[in-house]
Amino acid sequence: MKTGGKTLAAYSALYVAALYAPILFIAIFAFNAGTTIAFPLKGFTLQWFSQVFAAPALLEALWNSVRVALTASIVSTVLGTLAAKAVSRPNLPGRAVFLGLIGLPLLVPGIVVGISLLIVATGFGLTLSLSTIAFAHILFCTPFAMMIMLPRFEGMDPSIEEASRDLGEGPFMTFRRVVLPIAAPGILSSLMLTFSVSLDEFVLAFFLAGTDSTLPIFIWSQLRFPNRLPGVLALSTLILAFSFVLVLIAEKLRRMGASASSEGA
Amino acid sequence: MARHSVEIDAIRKTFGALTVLDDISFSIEEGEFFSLLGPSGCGKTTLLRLIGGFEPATSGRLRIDGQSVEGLPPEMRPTNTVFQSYALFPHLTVAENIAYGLRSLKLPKAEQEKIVASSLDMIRLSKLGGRKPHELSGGQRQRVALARALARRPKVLLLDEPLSALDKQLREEMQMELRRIQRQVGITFIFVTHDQEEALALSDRMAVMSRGRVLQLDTPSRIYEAPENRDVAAFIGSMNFFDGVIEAAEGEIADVRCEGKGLLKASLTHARGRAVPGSAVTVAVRPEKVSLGETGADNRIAGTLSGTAYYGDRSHMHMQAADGSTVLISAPNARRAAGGGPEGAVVASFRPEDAILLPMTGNWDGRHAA
Repeated sequence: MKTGGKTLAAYSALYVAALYAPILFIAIFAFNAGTTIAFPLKGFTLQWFSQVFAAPALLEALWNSVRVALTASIVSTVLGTLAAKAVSRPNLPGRAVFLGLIGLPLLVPGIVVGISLLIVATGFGLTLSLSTIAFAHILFCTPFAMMIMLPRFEGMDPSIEEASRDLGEGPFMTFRRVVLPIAAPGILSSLMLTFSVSLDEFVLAFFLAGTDSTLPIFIWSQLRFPNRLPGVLALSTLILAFSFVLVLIAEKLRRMGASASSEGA
Repeated sequence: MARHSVEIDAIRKTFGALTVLDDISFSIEEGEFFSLLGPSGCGKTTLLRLIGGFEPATSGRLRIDGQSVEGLPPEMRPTNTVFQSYALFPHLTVAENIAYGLRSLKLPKAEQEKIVASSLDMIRLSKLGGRKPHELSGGQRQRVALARALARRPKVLLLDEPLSALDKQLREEMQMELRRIQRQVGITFIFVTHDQEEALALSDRMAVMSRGRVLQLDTPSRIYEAPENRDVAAFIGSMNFFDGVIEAAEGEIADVRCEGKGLLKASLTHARGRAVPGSAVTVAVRPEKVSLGETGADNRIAGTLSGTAYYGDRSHMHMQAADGSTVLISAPNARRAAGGGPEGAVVASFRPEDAILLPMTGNWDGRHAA
């Protein structure tokens, strides 16, 4: 047993290292004074970070990404919340089929979804723009939102809504005064997670971008120029830090809300 | 007699092929503490949910406080509910929970605060108004659920097994509390429970239900002392049943020939005119009305003592009669004694007026129970 435990611990450590070491290298070289990505390190610098904020094309791409991510996170959280509320009724007909289907986009390769959306968009004669990217991201993020909201609604005592009706409130006020406040931490968590998913998404954005570019597309385009690589690394480090904090807060919120709703029941 | 508070008329409820309530009709009086008692699955909770407006009836009429409530959602009915799970709002404080139902009444703010304060006072939780539900004990949550439901001054309060989650001691305390509060507010209480002692202790009247039907509707003492059929007799408390055939029925007393127990005499009060010589009947007698040894009572059954269970305040004894069937005897341990009861061959005796004559199935008036 004891040696088994040791082997397992070593394996876990190796796995985590393999997962995070490449990311760590990005952060290390973002602070490296040399222009080539190679050891030995040439010294500490923040110049790549200042370069990032001096490029207008980058700032535009960043602003595009934020707008798309805001739209996608808000719309997909609203849709995901409503869908989760509907599906949380255990006797809903077709529930199992719906649950299976909604999760499917997460498993279908992004490139397939990208191509199919491109066909649909051109078929309808739509101009490719930030709107088409936002639309694709809404499609992509809604299952995430639903997966976050579903356990919250399923963990809710069904009598709680009946109690609100019993105490004189109709379906709308019951949703506003009871369901929404109890679901609030989940909604916040869903907003953050879907925002981060949309911000980082590349494949769909690449297919549907037209002339506008989002941040991942901008980074991709910069990779052709070796001298800009350190700047890309600095930018990637910033995105990484931001996403990490966002996901951490979202997860914290999700757990906080989950414990409050189960204790009160 | 008081006005009808709830009138249930030919109510049926089916879920698909399953009949949950089968032609239920009765009325509940104003200010009454009324219990629906039965095993799980008997339809008592469904009936309560029908009255509260959470489920529609398949057919039949329902009137609350003289008004038909057909098609009315819960928020439009003069009823409030204490849920089995309490269903307190986890994101609101105790005071906010109690005030929740006052918004739609459009009372002035000062009036609302007065109601919340007096509600907290009624359930003796005045100091805990700012707590969240998860910071309360089970008994405290139960009281908040009660205060929240009563704050709107409903015409009828519906209680769905509200004490089932509490431990025994707290449950008895809350029973007293419930009775006190019901007397204080004077509102009709409809109380669903599967706990017969609870129903007997609390109710003005109660309906014993089984498989979607009402077996008997009566006061607790009549339900216990004068059950109308075998099902009620068996469900409430313990009962000895001696099957036999009537040999003679004269005046107040019937003579019943029971295999293995000889001739037993039973009171004819309820069965008069229906129990005629030759008909198959059951003589039912409560274990605490049977005495061990000669008491001069008319009914005597000889047998051997096969087991004793000691409960402190009372003892239960099993006596094997001549035909091998068991007679259950319950005796209070009124005097202090340690160990050693009777053993071996004994005689059990009981008075004819303590025995109940029941038909083999259904009721004497021809109605058939479930």
